[in-house]
Amino acid sequence: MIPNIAQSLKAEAMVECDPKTGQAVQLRVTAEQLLPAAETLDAAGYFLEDVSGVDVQDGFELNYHFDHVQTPGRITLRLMASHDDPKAPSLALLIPGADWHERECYDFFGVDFKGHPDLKALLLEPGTEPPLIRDAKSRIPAFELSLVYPQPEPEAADDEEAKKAAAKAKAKEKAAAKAKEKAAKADEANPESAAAKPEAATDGEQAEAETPEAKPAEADKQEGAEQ
Amino acid sequence: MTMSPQLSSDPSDFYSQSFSKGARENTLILNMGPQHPSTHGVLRVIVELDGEYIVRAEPVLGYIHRMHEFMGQKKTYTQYLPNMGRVDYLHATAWNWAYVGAVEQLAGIEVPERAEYIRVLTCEINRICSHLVWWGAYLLDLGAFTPILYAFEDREFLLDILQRVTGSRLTYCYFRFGGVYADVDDKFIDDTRTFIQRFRKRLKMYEALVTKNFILRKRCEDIGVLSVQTARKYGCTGPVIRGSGVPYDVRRAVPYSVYPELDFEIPTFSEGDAMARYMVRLKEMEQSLRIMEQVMDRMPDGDIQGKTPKTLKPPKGETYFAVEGARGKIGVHLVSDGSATPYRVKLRAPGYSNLSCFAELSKGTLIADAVSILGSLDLVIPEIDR
Repeated sequence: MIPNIAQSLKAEAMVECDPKTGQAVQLRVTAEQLLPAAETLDAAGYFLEDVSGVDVQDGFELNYHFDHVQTPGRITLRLMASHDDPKAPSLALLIPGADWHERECYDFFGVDFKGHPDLKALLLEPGTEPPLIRDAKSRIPAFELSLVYPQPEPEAADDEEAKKAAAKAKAKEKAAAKAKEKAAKADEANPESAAAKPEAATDGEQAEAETPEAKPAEADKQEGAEQ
Repeated sequence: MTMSPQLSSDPSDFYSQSFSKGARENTLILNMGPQHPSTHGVLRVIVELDGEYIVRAEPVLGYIHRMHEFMGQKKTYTQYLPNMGRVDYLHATAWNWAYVGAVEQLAGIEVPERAEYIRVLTCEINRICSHLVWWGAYLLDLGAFTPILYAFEDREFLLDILQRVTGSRLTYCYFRFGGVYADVDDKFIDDTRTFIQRFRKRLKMYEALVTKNFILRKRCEDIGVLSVQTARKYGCTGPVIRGSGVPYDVRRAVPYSVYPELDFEIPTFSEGDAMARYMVRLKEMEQSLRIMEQVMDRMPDGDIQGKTPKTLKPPKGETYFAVEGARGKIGVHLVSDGSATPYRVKLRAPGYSNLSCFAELSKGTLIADAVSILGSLDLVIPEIDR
């Protein structure tokens, strides 16, 4: 059940959460919507548990976890700060407890909290590279985190899978061709090693590893016939 | 007199410089810590003093920062378990529980009932250990030397008991995904029952010897009064907010494990001062004894380890799991990308939020009272710095 207070908040998207997430409701907010939303929650007696940053493909996602002492049920405000210019409005003047949580995010992700009274390193040596920034390759898309982000259409997913499958098939063909060439070359240099396992068989499929081995043998025969 | 070149050069660092920018005239800026005994480890507080009164204070953290959250992204789920006992060395089992609970919630791992009871039992024993260390150290801060010897004597019994099942005495790594590491035996139960009997008498002695002591009361009453509103705004939890009259305890508010079946109270005191926080912790120890008794009476037979996959790969997604530690709400925000390594582990340390209100609490107090306030917040710096 979505708490009444959550319905009164202005947000881009709101979803009720599965108990497995440990949260009651999540809201995706823009930078403009964050402060009014936090103000409403604060006035209703909610307290800020923490600000948890997550580095995803779409940017640095800031999770503001709010909870209430009398009517427990975690409300999460999710705000995306871009990778190029990570910034977010500061809640520190409204909720003094946000001060340190924001400084922590500044330490770990380099997020600039606009309007923070004293934004400087808290846990790390001033000037340290933010340690929790991931390489672009290892980032996951935001929609895998939460349903407040538009989920990819199932057909689109199928398309992607089909594309992936096609790409895989192509790669296999290429690998097989390469293995053939290699085998042929090796064959020229040293006929004994013609059956050596080609390196390209990385997919772990037995059949794949066998075919390139079988092919050079055929090539042998052909060559023999030509001679 | 000319000063030596060494003395005349500015010995202050980034934080002192930034702090002294806002200083008033004719005040003294003083560094307490990071090696000051009253800061219990390596907390540093910069204070601006007008005579003996604090005009401003600013805690400087990070002297024992180990970046546990980064380690979480580099190790597998199982490899990260031992880190938890090292975040908060005084209530290690609660941190064990917060992390293990988050992983279980995300991966949908069932825990056998016996294991749940053992978890509650060891967690409560550990809570008493933690409160005893706080009690002794706090009184040491206030100038009473003997109580810490009493506290450590009692704690020794508990450490021996916990050592039987966990194999360690401080940085426990006892909880496993879906259960616990080892089953408790009869000796464990017998020793715990003996301890409960003994400790009930000792608590009475503590009260007569220390709690009713006039000097202690002078040092604690009306010192560092924290209003309900301020406590909430700073996100204070645990004995700190219960000392301000709010009966907020995760064990009751968002019940987990077998706590709903157990009969115990949440002690609260409405004064909001250091004495109220002191009383909350003493009363909590009594409640922990009650919980331990009930758990031992009701503990069912059975497995202590549920079914868990050999290589744990929780499904993609995120979860938040919170437990009540000795210092308040311990939270773990866990994100999984479906691999064997967590994508992100965010640790919510209760002491971090509790300490953040210190700057406001200490304003205008005597420096000696600030020491009393710091102690009454029950700080464990490794937990705050993580």
